[in-house]
Amino acid sequence: MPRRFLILFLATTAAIAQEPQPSLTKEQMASATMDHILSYPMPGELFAALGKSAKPDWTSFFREPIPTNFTSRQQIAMNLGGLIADGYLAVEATDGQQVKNIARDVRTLANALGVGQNLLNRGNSISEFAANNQWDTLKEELEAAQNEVIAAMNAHDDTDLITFVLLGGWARGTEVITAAIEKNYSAATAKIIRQPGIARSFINKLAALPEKTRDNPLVKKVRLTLFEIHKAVGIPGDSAPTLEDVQKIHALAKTLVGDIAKKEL
Amino acid sequence: MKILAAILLATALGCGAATEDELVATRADVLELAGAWSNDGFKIRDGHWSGELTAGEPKLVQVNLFAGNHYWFSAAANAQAKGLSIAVFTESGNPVLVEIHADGPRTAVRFSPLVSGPYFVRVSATEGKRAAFCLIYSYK
Repeated sequence: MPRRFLILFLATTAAIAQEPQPSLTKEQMASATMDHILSYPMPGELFAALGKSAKPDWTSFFREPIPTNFTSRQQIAMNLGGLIADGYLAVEATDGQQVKNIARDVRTLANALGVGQNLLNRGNSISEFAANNQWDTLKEELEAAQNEVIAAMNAHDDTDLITFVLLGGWARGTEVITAAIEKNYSAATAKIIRQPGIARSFINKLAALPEKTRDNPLVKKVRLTLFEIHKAVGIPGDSAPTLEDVQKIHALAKTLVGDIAKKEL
Repeated sequence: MKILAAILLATALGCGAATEDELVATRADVLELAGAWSNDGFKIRDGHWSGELTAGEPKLVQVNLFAGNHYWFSAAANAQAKGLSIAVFTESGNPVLVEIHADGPRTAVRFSPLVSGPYFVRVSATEGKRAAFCLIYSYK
């Protein structure tokens, strides 16, 4: 490598020690943005953290197909988020047919919310990538699909529905990883499930919804379960959740996902 | 008349808002930078966080990170901003040690959390007014 290129390379890639930073104040932390996209982890990110150390049998966490004929928009949105998490699960399990089935159900729910048009091309490419075993690309497509749904909801001033999509995906992702950790417990992997900030954020967002939405029986039930989950995932940062903690969080997440997918409540 | 006065005031203060083109340009810039981490197995989150940055008025976003994952936070700003930097803080507001990658008007930090949970990511500049900026993150 010519010397000047080597110098340029070193100059731009060298790690630089960071100057000591003062701590943030409570006011600064309170003013932090919760971004619809970046502040909430995608299920794929959660599964990546687990997959590295636990090597789970992802297929064993598949669930029976859920109904796709809900009438409440909030419930449709939560199930849409849950199905996108199922899509990530199918990708981790490298099951192309399952990915295609889920993509079809995602489109059905998106259509019911009036945002299906935004997913038309995305749906075709998801099926193609699944047929060609392009698993990494599929993860990107799933995230892009969720973001397009969110963008469409933003454009339609349906911002409350975004919370429900994110909540559904997070609940299903948490159900899956806690099941996996429960099956093969280790303190190191159990640390992944510490997510008090996310649970708190959903509690705050649901509390800020219009009264009419909060009065929806499913939303009421979801809020109650979220309070329980928030208490359970608020494990101190310096300790790992015990197997009992994991079992408790799994049971709560399973109840939450089950309620969300129940046709009649 | 009021509109004219507002335009004159904005011009006098030199504080025109970042345009859509500037925001798109910073996003393209930061994606180019983050592409380097992709070669190392990092996946870029599809979303981005962008807006305007003024020296002395840092921007803060909350993220949720997982122990066991590695993260790169990458940011770019337009030429109006100088001394762009990123810092990461725990949920208690304490700064964490990061590896910094400086690349002219773009910057990135790498962080591998030992504890899962909420973190704060701060983007700041030492000079400039209302410059467009864009932050993205990658993980593996």
